[in-house]
Amino acid sequence: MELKGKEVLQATKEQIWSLLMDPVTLAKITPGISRLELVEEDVYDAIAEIKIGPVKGTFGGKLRLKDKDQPNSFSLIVDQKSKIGNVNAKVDIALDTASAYESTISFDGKANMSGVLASKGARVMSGVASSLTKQFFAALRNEIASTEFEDKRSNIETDPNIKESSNKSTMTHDIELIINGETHSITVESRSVLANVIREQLRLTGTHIGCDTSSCGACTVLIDGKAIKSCTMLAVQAEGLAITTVEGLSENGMMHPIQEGFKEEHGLQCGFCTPGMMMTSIDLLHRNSNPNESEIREALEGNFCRCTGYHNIVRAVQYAAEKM
Amino acid sequence: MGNYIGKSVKRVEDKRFLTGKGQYTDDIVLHQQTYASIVRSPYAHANIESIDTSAAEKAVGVVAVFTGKDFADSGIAGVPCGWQVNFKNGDIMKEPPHPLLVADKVKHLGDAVAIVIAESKEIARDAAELVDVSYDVLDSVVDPKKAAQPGAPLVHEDCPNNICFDWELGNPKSDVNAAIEASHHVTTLEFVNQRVIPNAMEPRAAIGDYQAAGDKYTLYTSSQNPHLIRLLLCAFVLNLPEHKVRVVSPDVGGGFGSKIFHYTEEALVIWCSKQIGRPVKWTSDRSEAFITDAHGRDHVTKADMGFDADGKITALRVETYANLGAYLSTFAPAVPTYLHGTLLQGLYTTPVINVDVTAVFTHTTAVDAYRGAGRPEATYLLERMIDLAALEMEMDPAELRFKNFIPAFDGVEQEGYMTQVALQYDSGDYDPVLKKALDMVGYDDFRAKQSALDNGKLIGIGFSTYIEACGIAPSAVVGALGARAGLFESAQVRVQPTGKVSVYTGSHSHGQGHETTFAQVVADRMGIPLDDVEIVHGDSESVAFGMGTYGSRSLAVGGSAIVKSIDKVLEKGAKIAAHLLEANADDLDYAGGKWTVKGTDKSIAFGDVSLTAYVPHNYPEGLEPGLDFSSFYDPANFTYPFGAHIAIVEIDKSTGKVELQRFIAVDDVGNVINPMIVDGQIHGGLAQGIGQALFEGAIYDDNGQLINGSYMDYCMPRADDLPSFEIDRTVTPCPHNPLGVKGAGEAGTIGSTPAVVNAVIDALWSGGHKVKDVKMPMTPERVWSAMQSDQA
Repeated sequence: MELKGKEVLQATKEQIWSLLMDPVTLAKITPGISRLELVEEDVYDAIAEIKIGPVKGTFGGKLRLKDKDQPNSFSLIVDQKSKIGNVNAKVDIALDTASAYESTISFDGKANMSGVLASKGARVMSGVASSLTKQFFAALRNEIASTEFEDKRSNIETDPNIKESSNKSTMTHDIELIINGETHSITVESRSVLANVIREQLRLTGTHIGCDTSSCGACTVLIDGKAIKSCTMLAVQAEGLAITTVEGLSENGMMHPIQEGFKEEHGLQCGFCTPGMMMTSIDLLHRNSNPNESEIREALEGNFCRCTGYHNIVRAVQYAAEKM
Repeated sequence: MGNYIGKSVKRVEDKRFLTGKGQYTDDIVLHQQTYASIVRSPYAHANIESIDTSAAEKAVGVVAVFTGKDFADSGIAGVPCGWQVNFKNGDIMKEPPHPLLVADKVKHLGDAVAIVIAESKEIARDAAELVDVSYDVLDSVVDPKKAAQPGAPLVHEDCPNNICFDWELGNPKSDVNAAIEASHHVTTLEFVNQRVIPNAMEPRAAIGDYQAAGDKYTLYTSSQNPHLIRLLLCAFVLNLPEHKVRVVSPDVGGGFGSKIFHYTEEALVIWCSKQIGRPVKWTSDRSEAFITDAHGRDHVTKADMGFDADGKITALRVETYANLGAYLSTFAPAVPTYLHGTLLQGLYTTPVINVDVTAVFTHTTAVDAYRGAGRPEATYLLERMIDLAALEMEMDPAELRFKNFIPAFDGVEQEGYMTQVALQYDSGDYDPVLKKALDMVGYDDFRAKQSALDNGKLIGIGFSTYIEACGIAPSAVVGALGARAGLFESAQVRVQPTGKVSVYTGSHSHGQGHETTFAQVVADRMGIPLDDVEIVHGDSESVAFGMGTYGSRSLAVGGSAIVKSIDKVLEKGAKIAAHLLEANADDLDYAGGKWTVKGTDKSIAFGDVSLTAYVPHNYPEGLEPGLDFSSFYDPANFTYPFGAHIAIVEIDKSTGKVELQRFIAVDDVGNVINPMIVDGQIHGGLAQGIGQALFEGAIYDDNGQLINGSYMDYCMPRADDLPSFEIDRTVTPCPHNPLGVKGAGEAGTIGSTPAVVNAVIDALWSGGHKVKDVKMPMTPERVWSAMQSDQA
């Protein structure tokens, strides 16, 4: 199993280094650790209790730090045994400067499992690893926030070539987005909203952004069949869900009935609100296959159109209702 | 006529929009593109004490930061105004500079002080927050009448009392005063036509791309008139060689006037691109759009209308303070003057009219043309006055209108109607539109129902019979009135060797469906299938020239230019056909896509002629090869659509909430090419006009803060706020353009607002609340208050 990732932390490399090398802190932030004892330089005795899917076990063994290059990198060697199986891992950890008071920490390594752990736990192991990693970095962030560091020099002071970062939240995540039936493996910022990722990273520009208050509905997409304003959902929240954008409405060159309806009834003029309007309409028609005019108007009240006065949009939805 | 004109052909442009393949400016990503974020003033009026950009410049991913100081020695003064109006005394209007970035003093909320360019839009935004601007905040003024008083805070120091110009039109004021005094009844109304915000759904965006190798500039911009932007950019702002500048307006998500104007950001991205050697994209977010897109309306008016004992109008006197905002936008001076004062004749035979306008700067976003531009303000005034007069004189509002309508004239047998306010109407027949609307509404039944009502509700009916001036405009006329541009249109009809036709039009479609309507005209006139016609617009590299789309001018002016080019194509085609048929060109008929020798069955198809034009082996001597013609069409006059709108509202007495129950519109826009598209234009126009009456209105506080600058706060009509519309039309062709068309883009907005307000006033009077006015937007609170304050 591969372990790989990158996080941005609001501290200098020296500060992060000092935390990671302190056994008390390390025990505190590592999930499941109940005991961590320095037995010789860079070698710890560790006991951890971990529940993984259907199996639970108490692990005991050694943690070793190798190839230390303060404050830039080290390797972590894990050698843990338990009744439910063993874990052996080697992870290379590197610290890099992002800006004056920000650093990135990246990790890259491999873990091998044996025993019950391998047979029963393997299918959930990658999920466990990412969950443990998240817990670890969350705890590390807390630790950074609550620590009064002795070394207050900024990265710039230790390396004057570094620029100040404006970026307040550059934590990234590797996620899989399923859009129009196709799976995209991408890296997104924590703060990225789905609409931006769809438009800018996946270049599906049929989904539009018309406001910054989730009031206009131009960004509406279908998520698991429900109309959702994609400007108000983080991309990471959409991981694994079935997303449909306007580009996914036609099948084999055949227009969806709602597309036909908008064309036949002149339900669009400038076309900017249209993708969102159609998505909201489809959601309505799934819930109510034969809506009357006031039900249509009520269902569409979260989507602005400035061109049509909504008159023909109502007819377009009625047309689609007949065909669906 | 042929197969297409007059038919509701489905739109050819729809497919790309329905499948997500439209291409709006923000959808474009260029190689090496950077992203701009603009640092804007949070104050309406303040001196800039210092700007510290060092933190932003140091940030990771920031490419460059520019401020007003970077323009100090550049000779770049800012964006110009395209229309000059003179003071009554002949002095030229005050025309203060509108800089691309402000260096010394900000003059409205959102004034631009710096631009940050970065590798991503997130980095640009984050870094914009690192730009540290220190302001010394000054007093501001937002109301045009207050701004014109001595002692008001000045927007521009060299502009006394904030007055940009004063202006007058019509009969001598003394004549009008005398006529008013001699009147049997005078209706007087002081009112505000409030500021509204256009809110096209696509926020403005611009990409500047300078390519040093060829010294070429390309601007992608969400504009209604790319060639006009190029002209202003090159000749007045950045002093660039026009032949090295390409401006593209790709798909544009609505305009409604707000995308006519040359905005500072367009010049900024081009200038910045040259500085950094990479493309620069700026996309407005909605909050930015609220404070930087030009706003509409904002008139404070007092009007007096005199009547004789029979109800005939004897005189009209109008005094208006027009708010221009902090800077002069491209066409701002024309809106309260030549697009407003000139329409005050309306449909009526009013013998004397005087209109007096004071145009004023305030510490607010610039005001310019918004759907209707001046004509809605004129119509609102006239139609409110007429309905109020009817209530005051206890006359029927429909009867009062019939009594005062100008008699029918077709502009051919009878001359056009000369107004007291400088215009000559082209053709008109006003009784039928109101009669038709009255039939549709069931007027007699309504009055019976109104008086019998006893359910905690009031119902009211409101009328509006409007005229507007479209097809803007004869260049010589508007030139004499201060326009700094001609307002013709160009079109090129290029017949390809295989007989397919590419048409390059200077009109720009941003929802109007030109790719369909224009193709219908071309296909019919040329007798070829619609699929054989392609309409190209929006790119200065492919379209020779264009004045763009606004003032409901595309078909009347742009369409006429296309017809001129088609005529030239067919004239030359006839010469080639005559040669091939061994006949005289005068002996040929052209119909159904072929030339036929009269009285025979000898004919030759259009495709054979076009192929011969490009393979001229057997060819008329002395005739040039090719079949490709350009034309410029300068209209002879404005066109004058008109119509009658009727609103029926219900007021809940306990809450004051107004429900628009029915809206009837009968419009006469001349000949109609595509009824479906014209109806769509009317629907959309109605929604915007009704929006102003019931929902919309920009609210500035005394510090010049726009306190409803988001969709959470600015109330735009939603689907469940509006009824289905009941619309119909009459047809009075325009006598002076080849298609007989008048224009349909603004009619709905111009006519509808006063109909709704009149309906509310009528309902209030029916309940004994004899109020003259309820301020727009007529919120439940305002209507409820009107019912409390006057229990008469």
